[in-house]
Amino acid sequence: MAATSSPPPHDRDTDVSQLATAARDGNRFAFQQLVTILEPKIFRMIFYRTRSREDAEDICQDVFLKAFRSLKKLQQPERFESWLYRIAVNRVKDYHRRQKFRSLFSVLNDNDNEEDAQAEPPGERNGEPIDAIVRKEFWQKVQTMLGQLSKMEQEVFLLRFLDELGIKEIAEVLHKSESTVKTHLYRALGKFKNDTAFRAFIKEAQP
Amino acid sequence: MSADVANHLSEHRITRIVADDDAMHVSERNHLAQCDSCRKAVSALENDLERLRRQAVKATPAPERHFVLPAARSERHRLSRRRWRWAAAGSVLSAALLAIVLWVGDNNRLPGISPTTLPVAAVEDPAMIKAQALAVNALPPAYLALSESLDGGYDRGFIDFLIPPLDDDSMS
Ligand SMILES: [Zn+2]
Repeated sequence: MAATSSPPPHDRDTDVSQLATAARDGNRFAFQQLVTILEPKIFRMIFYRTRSREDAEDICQDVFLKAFRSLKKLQQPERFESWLYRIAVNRVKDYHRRQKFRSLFSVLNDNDNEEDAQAEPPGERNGEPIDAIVRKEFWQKVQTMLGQLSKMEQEVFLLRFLDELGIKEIAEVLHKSESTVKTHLYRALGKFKNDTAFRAFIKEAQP
Repeated sequence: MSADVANHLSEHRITRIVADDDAMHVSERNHLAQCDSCRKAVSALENDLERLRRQAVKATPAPERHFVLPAARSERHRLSRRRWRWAAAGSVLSAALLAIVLWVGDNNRLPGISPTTLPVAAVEDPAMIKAQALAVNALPPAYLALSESLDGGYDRGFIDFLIPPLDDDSMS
């Protein structure tokens, strides 16, 4: 899938800032335009961390609703995008907290599901579309690679290289100093760099 | 190219340069301009990261639901105001009924009969109970706002009660 074309960064940033100002001043159409521009990025960002389309859709709705309802508090419209990412990062953390909480009470259920999965005839899984298998394998490999990183290293790595945020923006989103972000980023990238198996996998997967 | 091998960029420096372009010193920039080996190391890492990013985009499904703005504020407020008017009317009505019952009870009291019996009887009046229930059950605006949000489900609310959610507003 080719990356979608977008206007030059400067123009886009200016657009977002102007639209955020208008939206804060009560222009609903401006907010809807912000949604059109930023929803694909925010949805992907959430999906990278939940790996569930439906959950990502729910959280994405939640993020924009929260942003819409808190617009009046936005003092620096030029930081709207960072603010949105911050809301999204927090909502994803909430999501994982809830998942963890639910998992405490669903051990029996999980065992049942595992049995069901084992009982599933192999033909069913073989019938899965190739695309879905490839996607699943890709995310499993990504998960294994990320598993070597601490939580903070994972977050800065994803924000920097998958969500394409700058170090200053990441610092704003995570509420950390730039030097802290850099420290975690260098460590994370060092681990990625040394994971030759994963790097070989992504080279093979895409010509 | 004939850059000095002893001055090749360390693995650590290569990582820093790829993570943060601003972290590159002039001397490193000059070295990269001359040294094929270091340039290849930097671009190999950059290319793998770009491959990862592209594949992540490719491996992400398109959303089937898109965000839609909630109903205009003025409309919501109008509905909310109407609800409040009814709640306020209920409260006033119940207070008035209570006052009338107490006043009537006070005036009709016979000598020797305990004054507590009449209000109790009044409270047991079905109309009175209904009016009081309306007044007691009227929700404050904060609760009305919550019930209009997407995340007002019991399950999530219960969990949030146990583990409070994070604050997003600190950087706005
Ligand atoms: Zn070199």
